[in-house]
Amino acid sequence: MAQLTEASFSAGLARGLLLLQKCASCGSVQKGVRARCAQCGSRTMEPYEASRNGTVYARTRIFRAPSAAFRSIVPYDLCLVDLAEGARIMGHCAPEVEVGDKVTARIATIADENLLFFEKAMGPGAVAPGGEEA
Amino acid sequence: MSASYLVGVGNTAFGRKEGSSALSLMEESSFAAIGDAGLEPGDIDGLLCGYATTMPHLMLSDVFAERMGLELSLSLTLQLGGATGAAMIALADDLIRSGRSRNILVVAGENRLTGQSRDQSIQTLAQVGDPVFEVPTGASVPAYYSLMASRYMYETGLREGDLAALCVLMRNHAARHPDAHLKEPIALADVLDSKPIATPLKLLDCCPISDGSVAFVVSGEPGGRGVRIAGSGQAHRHQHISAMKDVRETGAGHAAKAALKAAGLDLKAMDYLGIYDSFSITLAMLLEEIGVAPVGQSGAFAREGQFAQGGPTPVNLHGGLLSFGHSGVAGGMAHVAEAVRQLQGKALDRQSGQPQTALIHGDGGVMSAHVSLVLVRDR
Ligand SMILES: [Zn+2]
Repeated sequence: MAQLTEASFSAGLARGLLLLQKCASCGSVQKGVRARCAQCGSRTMEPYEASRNGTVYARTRIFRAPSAAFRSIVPYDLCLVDLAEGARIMGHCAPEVEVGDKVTARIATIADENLLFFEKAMGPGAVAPGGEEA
Repeated sequence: MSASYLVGVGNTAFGRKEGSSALSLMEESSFAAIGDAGLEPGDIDGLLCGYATTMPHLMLSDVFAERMGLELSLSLTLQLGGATGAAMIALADDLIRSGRSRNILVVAGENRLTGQSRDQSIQTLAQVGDPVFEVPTGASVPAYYSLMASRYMYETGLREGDLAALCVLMRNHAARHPDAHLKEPIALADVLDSKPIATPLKLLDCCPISDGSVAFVVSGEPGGRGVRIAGSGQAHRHQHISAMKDVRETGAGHAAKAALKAAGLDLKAMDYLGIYDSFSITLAMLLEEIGVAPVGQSGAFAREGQFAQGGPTPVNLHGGLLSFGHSGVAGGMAHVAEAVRQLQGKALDRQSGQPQTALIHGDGGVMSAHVSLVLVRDR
C-alpha cells in the first residue's frame, strides 16, 4: 500500500476510516504525516487503521468560530485525544466529555466536514474500527 | 566585533490607525529608531524585516528598503510567528559579531486591525494549525491555546482567577504607556465575566488585534546608551499542538537556559522580564516553564506584586500583547522596546528602578518556536 498522505487521511474519513501512519520498524503510530518516525527515525511507514479509542488529553468549548459554517453550530466542543495506539488527534466531542475520560469516536459530518466525534466509552465493547459510516 | 548593541528604538502607537498600511507603519517606527540611534538612513547596511499578514509580499524587506531609500548589503524577511522579533534580534547579533553588517535595521509592522476584517484575521491566524488534522475541525488560534490551557490547568491546578490576575496586571501596566492600545482599567471580575471565546479563555484573556510597528537599530558600536545583546537561545520542538510532547516542557525553559548560559548569567540575576503574552495562559506557562514562578504559581506571584513596577522582577511594563496590543511581529518586539527603555532609564512613568539585565522570551505558533534573549546595560 502507498504511504499515507494528507489527501488519503481526508479520503479515509470520508470512507469512515481513521487512517494514520505506522512505523514499520518500531510500530509507533504517528501524530500526522511524517517523513520519519518520531520514535526511532525510520523512514519506512505503512498506513494503519486506528482504533478510535483513547483518553482525552485536552478539551475546550468554542464560542467564537473561525468560519461561517462553524459559526452556525456554536457552541461546539473540541478535544485532543491520545489514541490507545499513542497518537494524539483532534476532534469534536460530546459536551459532557472531560480531560482524562476514556472515549471512543465515530466519524460524523459536522459543518460539512468529516470529523471524529468522541463520546465517553461505554466499557470494553467500544465501537470497532470501520463500524460506522460517515 | 565582540558584541552587538541595541542602539535605537522606535515605535508607533498601537491601536486603530485608520488609513495606515504595513509599510507606512514600518516607515514611522524605522525613522524613529534610526533617529534614536543618532544615525542617518545612509548608515544602515542591513535590514531584517518581519512578515506582515496584511502585506504577504514575496520580498517585503526589499519593498521596504526601496521605499526607505536604503542601499543594503543584506536584506531578509523572516517568518516565525510571535518569535520572529526575538529571532531577528538574535540573528542581527550574529551578523554584527561575524562582521557581516555594521548597522542593521530590524523592523516589523502591520495594519492588522484596520487592514482586514476581524474574521479574515482570525481565519488567517487559524492556519498555524495543521491543515488536515486540525483546521478542518473548526479550530482557531484561541482554540489551540484553550486546549493547551485545559491540559495545563488539569496538570498544575492553575485556575482561571490566576490567569485573570495576569490580565489585570498587563492592563495596569498599559495604563502608564501613552502608545498602548487598551488603557481602560479592568478588575478581576471584568476578566472572569467577559464573554467566553474558547473555554477556559474569555475575551479579556485574549490580546486585541492592533495596528502598529516597532523598529530597532542593532550595531557593533555601543554609542552612548547601547544595550548589549548578551546571549540568545532557541528551541523548536513541534509546530502543531497535536505534536506537542509535554505541556510543561514546550522548549521555553530550554531556550531561556541557553540564552542565560550564552550570557554567563543566572535567571536570578535578571532585573526585568519581557515575556510573550498572546493569551493569559501563554504568559502563565512561559513564566512557569522558564522558572520565574513555580508551576501553578504565576497568578499568585502577580497578586503579590512580584511582577509589578517596583516589584522584584517586573514583567512587561508596557502592558504586553494583552493590553499594549498585538500587531503581529511588532507586538512581540514591543516587549524588547520596553526592556531597552527600562535598561536605559528612559521609561518615564513606567521606570522601575535601575535594571541592568533583562530576559526576553518570544513564542510563535502554539508554543512552537521559542527564542530567548538576554540584554545587559553595561555601566
Ligand atoms: Zn519507529
